[in-house]
Amino acid sequence: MRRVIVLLCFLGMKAVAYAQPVLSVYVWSSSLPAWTMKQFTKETGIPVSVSYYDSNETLYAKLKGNPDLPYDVVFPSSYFIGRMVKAHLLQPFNKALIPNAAYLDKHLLNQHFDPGNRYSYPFMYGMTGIAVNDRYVKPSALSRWKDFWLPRFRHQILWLNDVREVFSIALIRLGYSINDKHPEHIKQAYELLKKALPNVKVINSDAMQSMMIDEDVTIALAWALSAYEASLSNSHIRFVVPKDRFALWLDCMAIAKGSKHPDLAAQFINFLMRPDVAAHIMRDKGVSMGNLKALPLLPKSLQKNPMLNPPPSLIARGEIQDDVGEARKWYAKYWLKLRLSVAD
Amino acid sequence: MTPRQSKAIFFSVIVLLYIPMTVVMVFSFNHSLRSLVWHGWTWQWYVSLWHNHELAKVTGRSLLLGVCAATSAVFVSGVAAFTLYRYRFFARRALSMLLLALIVVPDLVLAIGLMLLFRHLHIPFGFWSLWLAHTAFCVPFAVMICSNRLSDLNPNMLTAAADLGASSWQTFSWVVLPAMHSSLMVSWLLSFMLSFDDVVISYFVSGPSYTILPLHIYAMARLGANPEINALCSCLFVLTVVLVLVSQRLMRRRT
Repeated sequence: MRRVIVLLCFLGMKAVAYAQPVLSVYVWSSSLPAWTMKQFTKETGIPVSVSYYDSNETLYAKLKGNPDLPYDVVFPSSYFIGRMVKAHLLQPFNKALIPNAAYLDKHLLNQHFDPGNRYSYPFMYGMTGIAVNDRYVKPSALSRWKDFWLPRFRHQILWLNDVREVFSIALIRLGYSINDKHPEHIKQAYELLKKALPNVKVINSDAMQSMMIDEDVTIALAWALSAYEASLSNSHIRFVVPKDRFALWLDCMAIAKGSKHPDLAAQFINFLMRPDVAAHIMRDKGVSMGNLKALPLLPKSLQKNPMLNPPPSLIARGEIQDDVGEARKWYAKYWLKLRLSVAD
Repeated sequence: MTPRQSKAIFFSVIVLLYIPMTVVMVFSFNHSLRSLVWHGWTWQWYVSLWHNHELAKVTGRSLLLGVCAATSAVFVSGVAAFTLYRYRFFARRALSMLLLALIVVPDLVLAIGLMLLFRHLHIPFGFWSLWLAHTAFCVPFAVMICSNRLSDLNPNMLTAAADLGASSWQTFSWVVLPAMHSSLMVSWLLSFMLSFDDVVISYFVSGPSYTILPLHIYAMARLGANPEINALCSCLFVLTVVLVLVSQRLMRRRT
């Protein structure tokens, strides 16, 4: 009996050691269509193993806890790239293997969290704006962020449960960058946000879509993608991009430090940038990818939809979220204070 | 308190505990992708669940891991419980207390400990690390169940067996094992369920090559509720109920 067990263990280990390379992808849940992986395997013969995470924090904790984990491709958001590079969790690209990067929108490249895109390329992005139900509120009534403070919207607005998104509104109104690190500025933003609290009905990210669709709230601070998805179920939902600046979220592709085959990882990243693949993902997920060569491959209705494919003039008003470093603790502190005063 | 009052309280507690599960099951039949208002009846989510190959693969892994972890946990804890019952040795009580203390150690502590240990021992993160970790957290529960059962066993039976010339191995397999039979089954089922729905420890000890169902559900559920998840949770709930019923039957049969 014992011999059999030893033999089985040995065979198991052997199978692990001699297996052909497998590409390990660690990605946001439901952001990569299954088709993508299947197609990659079909073209290259390399199997893809996918695991999912639900937040940047989950990804960061997993890699930080064990930097040797052989994940190949990971998808951190823009404001986590700097942190992960500093913590030595990413490795630089071999750019010769990623020629398709030439198709990417220049507005999204060479940002200050990763100058020269040494560690990351943009994957998906989206705007933060205002979702409005036009049966109750005229979309034109909310053309600037300051309209969130109008007394007539008392107890009607949903805020995303996301400290950076909410503080961005106030920071933009105050004329600061959404990535401001100055404690005094953050405090001012907090004071300003406190005045907007009477208008807040609920702070929630997960239920934003269902609450808008079921008309439990009529105005929401929202991501364009969620608003677009919600509008498919309730055609009265409109998405307004304020005339001021606005925040842009950006999820990137990067290669983890522990990757055993960075060349395969680069090959996969290049594959995701190929126009036909990018167009497939955009069509399937209704998301913007900033891939200029993929745009013409989309149906006209999607191409023209400003929620999904905002024109460059609009993108230019967006500001990409970046790491705020040590100032995180100030944001966290004032966010907690705000959340506590909602309960009153 | 009158019997009627106490019954009323009992029933309301049961109802309260099962409301969340009922909501999930009801909404797994809701004909709407995102809305939380009733839009009519559909089987659609169960159909798409059935055709979701990725989910099937992950579920298969979780089942395999559950079976492996439960089997090894039961094996280890059967031996442990018997040793604690049969032999007197140095620090026996302290050791058994230490084992049972693992039940109340927070999962997070155990998880980080296991992760650091595996890292230092260079155990690959994947199936092997998950198996070891799941076995580790199932063992205390299984030992507790087996020990309880053994404490009912009359020690004179062992003496009698020895008296009749049974070797220690024969005593174990013909006297102790039949007595422990049902408790081993119950601990197997419990270990299987513990392993099947563990998130915290699995998160820390899993690796890129082997992801399992609870982690998958967790990531999916956090990013917007999806009716497929409701359907899946309903199926798992039914599976759990069946397993509990089976183990209850086994528990009753022993008396």
